[in-house]
Amino acid sequence: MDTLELPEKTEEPETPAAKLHKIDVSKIPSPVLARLIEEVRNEETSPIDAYSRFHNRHNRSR
Amino acid sequence: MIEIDTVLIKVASRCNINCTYCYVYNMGDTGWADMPSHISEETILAVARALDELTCIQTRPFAVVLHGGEPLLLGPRKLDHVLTTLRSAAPSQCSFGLQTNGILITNEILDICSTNRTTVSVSIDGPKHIHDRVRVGHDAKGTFDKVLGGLNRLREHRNSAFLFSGLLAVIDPQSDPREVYDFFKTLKPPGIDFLYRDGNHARLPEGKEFLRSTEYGQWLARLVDIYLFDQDPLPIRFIDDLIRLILGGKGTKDGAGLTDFGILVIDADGSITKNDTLKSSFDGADRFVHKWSVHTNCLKEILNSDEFADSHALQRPTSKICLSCPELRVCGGGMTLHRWRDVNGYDNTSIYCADQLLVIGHLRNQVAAIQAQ
Repeated sequence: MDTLELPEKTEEPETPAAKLHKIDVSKIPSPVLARLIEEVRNEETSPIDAYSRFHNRHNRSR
Repeated sequence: MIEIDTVLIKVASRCNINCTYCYVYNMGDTGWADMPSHISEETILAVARALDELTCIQTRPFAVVLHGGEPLLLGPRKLDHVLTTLRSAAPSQCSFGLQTNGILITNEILDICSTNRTTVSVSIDGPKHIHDRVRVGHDAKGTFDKVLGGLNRLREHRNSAFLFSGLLAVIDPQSDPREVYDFFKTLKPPGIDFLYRDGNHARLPEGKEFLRSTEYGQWLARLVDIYLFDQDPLPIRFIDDLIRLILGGKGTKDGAGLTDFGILVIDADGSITKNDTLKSSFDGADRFVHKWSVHTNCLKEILNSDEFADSHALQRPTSKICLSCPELRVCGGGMTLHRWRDVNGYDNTSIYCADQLLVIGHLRNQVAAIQAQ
């Protein structure tokens, strides 16, 4: 009896956040880039997605 | 219903200075002249009712920003009244802030902001010789010394760690980004944001020779090189947003990325307007056809309306060039106002398209090079 040949299972493409998790930030020589990699990594679990966008003519850095 | 991130309240329609590039007074819009100088008691109460309603109809918190004109023209007593009244109408997790030119900052004002948990952001363009070229008084004299006085009071206040939310600077592409960055670091703000000068396809901003010229992009690329290799960096919001987006994250402010931004602007007479930066397109560009007002309309009706939805959708780029651009997710088509052309509205690329592509490309190269190390 013929068997149905299933295509080989391909891996899901790696998400940008997953790629970032592989980076050792302690080895990044730029403090800015190290901080931002950490921030993007944490975006997935951050509860503050709520009102993160703000008006171009105002600055609330924190 | 469209959800709101920021309620921007124009508590004073006039300004004590007259910056040459100001989108409120010096780019053709005359709406300010029809407004009361200061927000009235009746309008303060109507805005408070609107904040209370917003709290009921959306679950997410929002930011409240006092804007102008110059919001500190209210004076300490009225500022205290506005903040106390609006604070009591909004949930405690809502952030309150104000954007000021800094000149009228006094210890009394700062105490009022501190009591009402309201942060202060100051507009300053750089060291004196750069700032005083454009941020001038009605007598055309530079305002740097007065701004620095107010800024120093803010920095020295006992609660400055909370109060001081950052600086806002408009780029002068003829300036030296190293000099500007080093100057701002001496002020020790928690962060700074750099803005492009306002302009559109009909009226290119000063410092931009022609549509595809890249004076602003080159200035930003030089700033990127200084910033990325600084071992004690002063956070720069605009560059941080572009890097976050390049890394696959989200931007925080309108003008980069594709996440929608929900703004509700309330003018000094209580009327509801579109994003006020659209004033730079043509006289009345920020006005809705419906004459909505916090005095006569409920927010639910406005936020569910087609006209508000159409205005909200303006932030999304529609130009075929943008929609097929490989950097669309990072650039986001830039600010809506920079896409304006008299013949076809906002269906264009930003006048800063070439600048954005230059700085994003430069950032990609630098980020890849640092990661490769």
